[in-house]
Amino acid sequence: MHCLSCDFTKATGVDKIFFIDPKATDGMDGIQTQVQQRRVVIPGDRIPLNLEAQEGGAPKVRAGPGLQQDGGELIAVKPGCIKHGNGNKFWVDGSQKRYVPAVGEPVLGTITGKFAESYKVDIGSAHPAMLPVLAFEGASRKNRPMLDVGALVYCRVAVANKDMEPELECIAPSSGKSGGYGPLKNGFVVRCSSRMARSLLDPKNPILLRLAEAFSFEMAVGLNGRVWFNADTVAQVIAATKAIQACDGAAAADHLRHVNAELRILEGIDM
Amino acid sequence: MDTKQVKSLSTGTMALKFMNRAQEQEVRKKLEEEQKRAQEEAKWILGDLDLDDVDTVEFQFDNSHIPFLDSTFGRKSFGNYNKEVETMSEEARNAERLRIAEENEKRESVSDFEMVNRYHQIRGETTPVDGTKRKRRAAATESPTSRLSAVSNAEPPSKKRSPAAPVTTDWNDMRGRQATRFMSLAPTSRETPPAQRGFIKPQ
Repeated sequence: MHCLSCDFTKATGVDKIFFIDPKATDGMDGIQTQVQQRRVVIPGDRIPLNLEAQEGGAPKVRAGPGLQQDGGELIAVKPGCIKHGNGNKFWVDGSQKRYVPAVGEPVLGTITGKFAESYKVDIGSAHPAMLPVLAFEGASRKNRPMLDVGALVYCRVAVANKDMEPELECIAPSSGKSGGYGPLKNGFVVRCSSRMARSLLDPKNPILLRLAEAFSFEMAVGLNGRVWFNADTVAQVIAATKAIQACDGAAAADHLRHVNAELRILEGIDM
Repeated sequence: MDTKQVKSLSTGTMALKFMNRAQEQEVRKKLEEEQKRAQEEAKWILGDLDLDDVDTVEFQFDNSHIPFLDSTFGRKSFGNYNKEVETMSEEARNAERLRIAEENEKRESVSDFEMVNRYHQIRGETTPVDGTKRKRRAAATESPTSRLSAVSNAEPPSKKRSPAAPVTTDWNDMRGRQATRFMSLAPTSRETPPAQRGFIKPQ
């Protein structure tokens, strides 16, 4: 079956469309997803809904990105694997390199401009994003964060419309404290696909666990396809970034092999 | 000369305009109803095409992956590289686990209304409990319910009054609106038999 999207073929492999491997996991099997078998969909496919019984009249279905409603059914509009979670949740786990901002997602941005009341931040979306100067922990008119053009910030999308420029904030909305957001110093940023970024959010990701066995490091994952690493030595940071780049788009069974290869190179350098 | 006992008002009095206001209102109401009915019939609406009332599914669309991911805390630290981040991520993970456990429990447990409905079905009672006893009673009374009457109607019925007896406020009552406001609160004269009243009328 010839697929037009190169990203899609690279992710799943042309010969794997008809091959269902129930044992293959891609690090996404968290508490919510129950992947019994991998089902690949392309735009136009109708999704059979095996709904859980729910009290009250009509069953409620939560449809995520990549799905649209047609009559009483869901059809896929993005290529990828259809995933099903507890509580009638359906979404398409697709991969793309372009970022479409959505509210609540953590993103990694670079400051490209400074204005009186805000910063202009590049997060890889169609429009450059706006980060208000007061959207930092403990910020006030007298106490402004000192960020230069070119600085890296880890922030959260506060407002996102497809026609307007997105707005960011560097505080967690519930607590008003930074919650991990804010400027990042040192380290290195690696670009990856959106599916890779989402799988890196999982705390039990096998790539990260294998890297953590070798050395200690810290990282920040942006759902706009940018991941930041920081470690003691430059060689370690490079090993981590090369591991991510190699695993991006590779089959889940090959992830560990790539990471081990990078770590062997690292050991060779550290000798 | 003995005065004539006035048993009823004269026709001249009855013909006065303010004596016929109630009747005029009734006639006006009927006319309005007819007009409204004519208007409703003149409008047409597109019926529900191919929709089964029983089988409709409610869809809720989300643009972002956040509700479909287990954890959305993106800062991580391994091997104590950054202690603050490690404690924060641990807290976020606990909060996330709690949220998912609560969601699962809410989904799998049966709500109170559903339980009561099931008991009603088992015992063979026909009235379903929809959790709005007040609304049902308010609908039954069919009156422009003030809040007071709604509160009083929510009390359990006394043994003497039948549950289906509506407490109607007759706005055309000559006593006026102010007096009828508390009519539903006061015990009706029907309830207390004459023998129990304090004052016995002399025969």
